[in-house]
Parts: sequence; structure tokens; C-alpha cells
Amino acid sequence: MPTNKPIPTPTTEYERQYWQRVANGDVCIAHCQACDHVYHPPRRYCPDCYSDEWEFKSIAGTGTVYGYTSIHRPTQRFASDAPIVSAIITLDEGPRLMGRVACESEAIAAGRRVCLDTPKLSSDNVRLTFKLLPK
Amino acid sequence: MNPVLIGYGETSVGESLDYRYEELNMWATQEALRDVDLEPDDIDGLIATAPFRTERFPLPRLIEYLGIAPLNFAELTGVGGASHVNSINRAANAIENGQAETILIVAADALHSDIGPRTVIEELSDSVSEFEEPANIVPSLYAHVANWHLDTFGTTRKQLAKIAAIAHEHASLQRAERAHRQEAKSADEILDAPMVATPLTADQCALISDGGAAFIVTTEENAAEIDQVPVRLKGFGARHTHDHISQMPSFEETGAVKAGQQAMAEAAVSHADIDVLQIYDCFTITVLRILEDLGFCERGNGGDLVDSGALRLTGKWPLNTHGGALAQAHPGMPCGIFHITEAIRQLQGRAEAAQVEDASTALVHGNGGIFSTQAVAILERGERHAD
Repeated sequence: MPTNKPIPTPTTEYERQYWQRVANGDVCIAHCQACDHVYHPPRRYCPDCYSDEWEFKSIAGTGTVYGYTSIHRPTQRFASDAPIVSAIITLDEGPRLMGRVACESEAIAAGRRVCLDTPKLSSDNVRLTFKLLPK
Repeated sequence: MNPVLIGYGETSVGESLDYRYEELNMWATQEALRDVDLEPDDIDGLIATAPFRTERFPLPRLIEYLGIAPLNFAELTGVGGASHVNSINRAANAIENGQAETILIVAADALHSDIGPRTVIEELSDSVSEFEEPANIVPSLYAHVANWHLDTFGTTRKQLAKIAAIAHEHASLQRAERAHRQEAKSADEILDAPMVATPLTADQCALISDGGAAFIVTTEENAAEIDQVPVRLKGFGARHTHDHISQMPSFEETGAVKAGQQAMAEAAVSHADIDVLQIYDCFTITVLRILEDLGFCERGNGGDLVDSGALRLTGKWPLNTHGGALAQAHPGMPCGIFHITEAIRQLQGRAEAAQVEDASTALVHGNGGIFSTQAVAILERGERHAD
């Protein structure tokens, strides 16, 4: 089904907790208390040891651009935002995640340092937005 | 036992065929049966592909519609664009295990006329995980790897665009009903198309088409009764790695590296032995990445390989001689089956204007998800028996 909403619809307590924290400006990755693995996307079972002793861990919000593109033709509901700079970011904690970077298309490059723009998060907009840090 | 691919059939492809999913599957099946003079009753196994808007039980519906019941073996395949190459191996195994003798592999859908390009793009985007930017469409996920390749190796946008130009060139050699787009396009024209997600312009993204194809895998003994050149499966390899592009282990390589090595080792062929290359081409970057992963050039030299002309019909490794997803047809999940029917056509010497001279060995590759699933098969021309 199309999820034409800014917030994903959580179906379990695990998901409710995750998205609530993100909506509150607290972006998390998952930490396995059994084997100490940190991972993203968050999931109830550790991808390494299968333990379900998960906890959410707040991220510092800083990382390095691994992949990037400038989306000129996004899905219709984001058409007015185009072009959207999307990046795959290696968080300083290790895992990779995808987010927007609030910058010109020409400014983004692999290796650029970014940090999470937390004030952009709200209960009706959980898109992760990063900003470029000075070179 | 030695299962062989023997006959194939294709529907017309294009934008408004006015056929439903079941009807297109029937059309392709009928053509395949006619190709080798078999009856529906000769089929005792089926591997099919669910429609884009999947029904609860598409497989029984299709079995009933095709009138091929009862079957000893039936399954849906679901590894995206790698599905059909994967299915060759599934069918061969089922035949070797005695589960079935003659298996129909069919895939067709009315992606353009039933669903429509805008809806397909939107719904595919909604299937992208909530953990990845919701504005993404599928091209923007592949675009990350394209930029990485440009930055890391100095590959140029024009080299990427040339891959689409080759696809158009080859599609223009097909009969009109067999190719969705047939106008020649230069690399510059392809670069001038609207930007979708940097560096991929619209002409570097797969089409959205109606259509499909089918082929038949049977025992060597059965094939000996059929007046057609049998095509042997000489080697196979697959690797399935990730879902989210952000979780791809590294942009350095895909699962095609190991899948390709396995297939070529099993077939005991080297790159020089390959006469026809059928590489899944949902985007131009897919081809560039996979050519390197399969060892047709050094890592990072894909752009030079494109420039060399080796991938054109007259080159050393003619690429996607039917035109591929970039120019021939992309009916969604069925897309990869055309890479196989074209390989069969080439090895049987029936490719008309696109025929590669003395084609005896083909490499067929499938890619699904976002570089997620990889399958490689080496196919070889056999000896015609019946006269």
C-alpha cells in the first residue's frame, strides 16, 4: 500500500518506540546488548547474533558522505522540493544510513563531513536532514 | 539428463497492447509451444512471475488460465531482475531430480497499460524502505553507485550514456513489434534527456513497457525429438546480498563477482570464449558495474571498455543485442527474460539483423533489487538432432 504519509506507520511497540524517538529529534541506531553490534536500519533481532536484546542508542549526528545523488524527479509529493540532495552517510558510530543533505547539488561530494540538522525533525516530518560541515 | 533450453516465444512489446497479465502470459506461452511444436499437455512444470500488482494466488490462476494442469512442479520466482536467469537453474535442477520433464518458464505483465508509468514509479518508490529517503525513486538509488564510479575512476557521463546508445542501436535492428523504442540515439542526445537523479538522465533508465516472453527447458532426450537447436546450460552462479542500497556491503563490488566466477568455472570458459553478452540493464550504471564485476575489464576500466566499441554488434563482446531494458522492453519483473530469449535466439542463429556471427557461447546475467540479487548463466549452442 502506498504510504503517502510523512511518518511511517508503526505496527509494533518496537517500531512505535523507534519512530517516536526520531520524531522527538532523537535519531537512533540499534545496539545489541548481547554482542555489542551496532546496526541500522533498526530491527528487533540483531543481524549478527540473532539476539533480541536490543536497545536504541542516540547518534552523535556526525558522519561522512559515502554515496550521493541529486534527485531531480522525486516522487510526486516531493516534487516541489526538487532537486533533493540524497546521501548515504557513514555515521561516526559505524552504520550507514540515508538522508537528505540541505545543500546545493554541486556542493555535495563523497568524503564531505555532515551533521544532522535536528531542528528539522518533528512529529509530522521524520525525514533525516543533514547539513554540510565546513571542509 | 542434461536439461536444455529449446524453444522460446515473445509477445509484442510496447505501450498499449490492451492485454492483461494472464493474456500476455498466454501469448508468450503459445508462441513458445508453437516454436517447438509442443502441446500444452507436454508441459509438466512451470516457473512464473507474479504481476506487478500481485494477487493472492497468481500461480494457480496462471496454471488454470494456461490450461497446463496438472503439473508436477510449479513455483513463482521472486528475486527481481535476477529471477529468470535463476529460473534456468531451478528448472534444470527439477529436471535432473526427476520432478518434471518439460518446464515452461514464462514472465509477462502489462506494466505500461495496466498500471501506467507514473504509478509504477510511485508504487516502486513506496516499496523503498521507510529507512531510506522517501523522495527516492529507483533510479536515484542506483545513482549513488554511478556517482561513486565517476568520482573513483574518472569514468565520464558520456561513457555511461554510450551504454544506452548501444542499446538503442541494437533495438533498432529488431523487428518493429519486438522493440519498444527503435530510434537511434547518440550519447549526446541521451545526456540531453531530462535529469532524473544525477548522473542518470531519463534515457539511462529502463523503459516501462507491456510484454513478456517464455522459454522451455526439457531433457536432452525430449529435445532430440524437436527440430530446433538445443541450448545447454553450461554453468550457473548466484549471489543475493542486501536490500537497502545503504546496506550494500561496499560499492566496490556486487554479488556478481562471485556469481560470475562460479558460472564461468563450472562452464570452464574464459572471457575470450563469450560471443554474446546479455547483461541486465535497468540503468546504464548497472551494465558498467557488472561488466567490471564479471571481469570483462579491470575494475574502474568499464568506461574504456565502452569506448573501445567491444560492446557493439560488430565488437568482441556484443552487448544486449536485443536492446535490453533501456530500449527493447522493461515490463517490470519479466524484464530479464528477454535477455535469455535473445541469448537463445543468438545461439540458435535466428537473430536476423542482430545476429552475431558464429555465436556459440552466451553469458546471461540478471540483477534484482538495488544490486541486491545477482545470477549468471553460461549458455552454449548444442547440435540439432531431429531432421
